[in-house]
Amino acid sequence: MSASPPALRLDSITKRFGRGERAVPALTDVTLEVAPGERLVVLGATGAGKTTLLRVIAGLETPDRGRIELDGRDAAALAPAERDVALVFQNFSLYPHLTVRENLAFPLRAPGRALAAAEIARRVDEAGELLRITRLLDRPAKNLSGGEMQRVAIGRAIVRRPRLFLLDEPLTNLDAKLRESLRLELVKLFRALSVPVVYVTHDQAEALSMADRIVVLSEGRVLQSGTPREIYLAPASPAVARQLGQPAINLIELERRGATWCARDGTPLLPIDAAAARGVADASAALLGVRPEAGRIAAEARASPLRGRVELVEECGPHRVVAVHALGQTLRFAVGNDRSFSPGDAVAIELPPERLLLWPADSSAR
Amino acid sequence: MSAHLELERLEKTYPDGTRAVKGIDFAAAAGEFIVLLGPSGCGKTTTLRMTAGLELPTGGAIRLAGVDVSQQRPSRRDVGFVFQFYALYPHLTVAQNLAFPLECVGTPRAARDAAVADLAHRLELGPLLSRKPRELSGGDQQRVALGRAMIRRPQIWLMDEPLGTLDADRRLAMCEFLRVQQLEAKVTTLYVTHDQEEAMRLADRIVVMHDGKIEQVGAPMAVYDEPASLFVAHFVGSPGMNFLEGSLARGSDGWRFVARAAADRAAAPAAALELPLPPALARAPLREGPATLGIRPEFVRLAAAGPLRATVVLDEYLGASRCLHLDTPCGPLVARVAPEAGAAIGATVALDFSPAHVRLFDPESGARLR
Repeated sequence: MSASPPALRLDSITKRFGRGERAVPALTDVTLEVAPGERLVVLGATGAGKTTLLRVIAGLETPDRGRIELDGRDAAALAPAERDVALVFQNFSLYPHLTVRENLAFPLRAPGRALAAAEIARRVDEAGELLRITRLLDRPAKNLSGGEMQRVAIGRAIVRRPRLFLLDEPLTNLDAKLRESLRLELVKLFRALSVPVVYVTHDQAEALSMADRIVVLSEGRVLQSGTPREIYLAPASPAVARQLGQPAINLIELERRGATWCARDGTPLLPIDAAAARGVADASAALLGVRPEAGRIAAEARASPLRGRVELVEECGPHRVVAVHALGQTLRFAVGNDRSFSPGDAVAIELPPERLLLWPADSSAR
Repeated sequence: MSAHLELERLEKTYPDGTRAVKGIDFAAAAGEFIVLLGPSGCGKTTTLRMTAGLELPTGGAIRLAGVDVSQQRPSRRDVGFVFQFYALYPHLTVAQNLAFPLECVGTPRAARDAAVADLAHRLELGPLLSRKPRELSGGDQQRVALGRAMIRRPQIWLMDEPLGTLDADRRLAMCEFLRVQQLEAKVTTLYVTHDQEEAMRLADRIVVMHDGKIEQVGAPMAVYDEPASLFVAHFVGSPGMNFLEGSLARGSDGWRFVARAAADRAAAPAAALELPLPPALARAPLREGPATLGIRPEFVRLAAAGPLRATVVLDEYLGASRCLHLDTPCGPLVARVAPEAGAAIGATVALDFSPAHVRLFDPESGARLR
């Protein structure tokens, strides 16, 4: 155990909106920690409670229950301004008629900060350099592109030197290409500043690539937390498995038939004693998860009992995604772009046991 | 009837002098799915709107099934325009929502009912037909909305980032849905997006636009593998192609590429990267002098011993693969490696490129050397 307390600790945070019968739970028993300097990404679909979570941490919402600690101290009594956290939103709001420099200096001129003009100038220049917007400093904010505006918005958070960054889908409104390059710049920036970060997104690629640790949030509850690899390779439930990976994981319902796990139509897929099936040894039905890159498909006749017909082939650059109709559903597999398939092709499918995930059947809703 | 579309020297100059589209030519065959791909401001949306008749060209022609429609009103053109924002009518049932576009053009009742039944069957919406939109899940609402946009089969569908507002995971599923519907209906489609991944997945052919002009027209893999310019090589692919600056030199044993040290390096590396070019490339009409070498991240290999040393700057885990961001004496590079092949930040690695996957460009014009 390190001597320093976590930068942020949430203990059983519950927040409901509305009263009595009509109360809607936004967060239920959310517990999480962010270590000093750690990047925590909260991944969830629209409506999962991600923004409410950030607002609770920032002090803009008061939780109904639970405890928030910042650097080991109870934050309940701290007003938003006293928490010393910086919140960056999806819709970057700058003062359009002020220059970039004035926009960056603005938070530092807030009453109560009492920073010397020289110190303000120094911090603004430093933020300009870190974000590579030095050449823009004297332009009016309204003349900037979307990507430049978002950089300035992040700069406004940096100059304050907060103890914690909270970012709410900061890249969502940008072009795909820009999103990709800003994603990298942000990680470099956070590493350079070594400030703890809570970053909220619905984009699984952002979560996997940016996070030290991911928390998967769904309907206000934490489904799983762990490193990107842990969550991708060993998702605790089908719901978590579905949140990560593109295209989404293939899910197949299984039934126990004698010594074999079979698909609903009786196709044998996996021996009962396979290592992957240990967690469902006592179940009579199970759900099988196969990542698109884990399955193998081949046009030639193979010994595999699992066969299907190609419905659609989609190009993805280094690989292509082949949608195959098999077992009465559509299964998707990623293959190298040196392998070609056409709609209508008959294919044999192999599911390597060491790459399979199994959950008890009743876990499908979780 | 699905129609072929021809754009000929099409231009749009606004009254303030802005040249949004600078004379573009391309043709789509009947039933083809064409994606106009490019960054904000490249002229793709203006091109689409001119095809729809929402804006009039200031030069050139638009022919639909051989007929010049460029000065016709939108209502005279048999086009179906699908916008990004498609709300369902809340007071109508799913069936009524689906039938609405057909009612608008006066399709008889029986034909409407048949079209709705057919669509509902294909979209697996049968059980939902009598429901109101608010009783549907978000995903089902999107399927109904896209289905409604596609129920009429005009000469051409024009789509302006129809999936733009969806969450990333929904977008992928809807891409597939859209493509399956289009393949089935065989309606010529012109689709605008800034998302290269969407373009790759959907298109029969991609038209890459930049600064009001066409950079390249080709099948997704042709555009990816054989980019016609630096712009295409960078824009298509996630991340885009890597580039190294240097020069071409002819030796006794054929052509070589000699990489230059990056501008921000104090001194040239002890051993500059020298890469012999494969015979196929060396057959191109090459000239000695400045050149840019391009290589896709998946063809940058970590080797026990390679011609280029690199330091790992960032390690992006992506589930099915991993991108290592590297700093080399010749500038930054990205290598796409297996997900198990993680590397510590700060570690030194050696790199090798397979010469067969090297692409060469003219650094001045950006054009491909081949």
